[in-house]
Amino acid sequence: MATAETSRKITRIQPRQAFSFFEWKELFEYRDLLYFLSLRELKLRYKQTSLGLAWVVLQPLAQAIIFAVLFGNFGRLPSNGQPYVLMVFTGLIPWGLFSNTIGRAGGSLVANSNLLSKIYFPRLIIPLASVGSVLLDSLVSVAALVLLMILFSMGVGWHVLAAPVFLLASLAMGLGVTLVVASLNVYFRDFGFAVPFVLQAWIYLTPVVYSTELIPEKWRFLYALNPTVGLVEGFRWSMLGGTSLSLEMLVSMSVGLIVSLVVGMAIFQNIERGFADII
Amino acid sequence: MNSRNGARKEVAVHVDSLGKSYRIDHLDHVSDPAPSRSPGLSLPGWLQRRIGHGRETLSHETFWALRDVSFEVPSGQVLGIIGRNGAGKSTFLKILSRIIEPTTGVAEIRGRVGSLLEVGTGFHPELTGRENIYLNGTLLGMRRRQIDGILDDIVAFAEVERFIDTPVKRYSSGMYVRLAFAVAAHLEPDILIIDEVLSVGDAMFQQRCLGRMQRLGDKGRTVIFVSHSMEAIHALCERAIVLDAGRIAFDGKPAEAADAYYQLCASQQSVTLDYLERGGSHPMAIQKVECAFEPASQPSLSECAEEGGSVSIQIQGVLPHSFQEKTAHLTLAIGINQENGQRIGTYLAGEADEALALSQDSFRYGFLVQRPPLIPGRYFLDVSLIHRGETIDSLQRCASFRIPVQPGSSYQNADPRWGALSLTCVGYNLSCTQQLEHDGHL
Repeated sequence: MATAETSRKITRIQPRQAFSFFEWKELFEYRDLLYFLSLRELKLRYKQTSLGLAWVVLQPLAQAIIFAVLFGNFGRLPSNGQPYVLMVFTGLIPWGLFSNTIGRAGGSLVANSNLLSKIYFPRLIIPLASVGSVLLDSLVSVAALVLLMILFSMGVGWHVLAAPVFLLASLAMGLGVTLVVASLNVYFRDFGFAVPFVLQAWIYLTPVVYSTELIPEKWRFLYALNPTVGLVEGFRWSMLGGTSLSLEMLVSMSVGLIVSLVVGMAIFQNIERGFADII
Repeated sequence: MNSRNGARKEVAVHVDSLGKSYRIDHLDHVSDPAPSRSPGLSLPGWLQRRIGHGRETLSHETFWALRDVSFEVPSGQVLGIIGRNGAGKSTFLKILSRIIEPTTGVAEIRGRVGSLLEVGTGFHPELTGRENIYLNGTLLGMRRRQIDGILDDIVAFAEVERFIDTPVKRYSSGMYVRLAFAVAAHLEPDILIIDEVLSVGDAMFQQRCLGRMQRLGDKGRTVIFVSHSMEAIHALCERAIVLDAGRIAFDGKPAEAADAYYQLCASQQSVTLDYLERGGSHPMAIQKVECAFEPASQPSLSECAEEGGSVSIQIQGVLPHSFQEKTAHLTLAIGINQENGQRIGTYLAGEADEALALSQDSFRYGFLVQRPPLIPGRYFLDVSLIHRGETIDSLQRCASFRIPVQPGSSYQNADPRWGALSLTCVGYNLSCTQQLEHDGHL
């Protein structure tokens, strides 16, 4: 009996002094919780709806059609030789991943305050659980995109293999920004208000409703500094081909991705210990 | 730690100088101490503030919810923590459960911790019972495979087999609570931390929960249990700690801890009297209620060990205007209750009663019960002032006294379910076995 007892894990609880780094082992131990929380998010979104998952596609599709009529037809925005509807729809998918992750996960900590104040588990699981539902939505949209492409008789090239890379990049960048927003939102609820407004402006700085052609040459470099530009043009290139993607965009996207993830994790890890005091 | 003395018990929880502080902000209005010298000029307040004659400042206060708490819990002990509201019990449990971080000190825990600070955390009304079991179970720290194995047990314990696949929002509140507790009851951590969750559910359900917790204690798990129910603490715990204003006020046997706790409550008598459950048309009439047990000055000469000592009851109050001339039908009712709320007796004192002294606008009551025929335990007073059936003022559980266990008494560990009367004090032993043998009955 003595040997069994001495092998029990000892947990030490004390005020954390140093800057702490991420604990992957603990997150792995709680993977079942992550699974069920993600499942809960998914179920709750579509329960009692008769159309269920169809709503996932209807929203970006409707948006794409409206944009196509407004900007493509009447506004005559350039689409780099590709059908406007396709261009917009492919843009909406990575952008949707990015902005919906921020939207849904951003308020998740405050929304789940009852869990945070009563039970211990790695706090990162809460924003991560929202990500699952966003990912599923995107995959359904991609399936719809493929159907659309078939409709327009557009084939895929070898570059379609890069599509998952850009989707994951959108997800990761969204997660990084979410971590910053969600943790700061616990202390300053202003973030919850600011985020939708910022995203609404940001979509126009990203080539979703237009192709990068629209931007004059001399501004292109500055424009490419926006990391989401690389996300959108990258995904578009992987599905539809084309020449809009430039190296600067890819570099800025990668840098943006790494910085947002690292900063996000760092901020989150080091202020999450105070969440239960505030919430 | 374990090689020197093989019999020494392992320590499950070790707490050293644990403290938790919060910063509280106060908005003070500080007015300028030097008044304006302008003769005859008196500015309105709002203008004064604008030109700096008054200042609003933010001052900070550090509030210590928990301060300098140190103790050890050996493996397998069932420890109870009691204290008044705001004493720091929940804060302490939250620190041990790693929900909040301590400000000072260290706690070391050996083994897996399961925390039950609320029943049904994570339950969502739209999900079915089955879905909620998995969600709640993984929240509490169980693995999915583990839940798969005990799913049937959980459903059976909660008695909701027929409804396990319907959304929980359709459950009755009883079913909801049973399901939530069923999941929690199947938690088998090394150290279980529970916070007053037993206050939900009906009496029978509470008994089952208590039974379940008892079995956990028997199996050698360490349990740390916070409750306001002294009955539960007596029933389950072998040791109790009293927290007061963030510090440990007492650490020892549950019965003595209860004493310390009630003493702490009593020392705030004037405050608690205002906030107790009061009723009646003039709920300020009764002003002071005191009662105490005084042990006998001489040892009891009778065979009854419970005899001895006396209980004094003293009550003071004022008579509301409307009743000052109508003392003829005035009654002071003093009810004595056991700890579990069961009424065991009521004194009714009317105008004619010598113990009740009435003056024009006030009253006093003083009564001494000699050799109270009560088994050891704690008893509470309900006091009501009544006129012709109409309640003027009424207080529930406003004072208490304790009959201690006398040496040689057969009531060493008094159980409130035995009632309150000590029958040995009101009867005689039949010392007539010889007679019965003679008559052929034995």
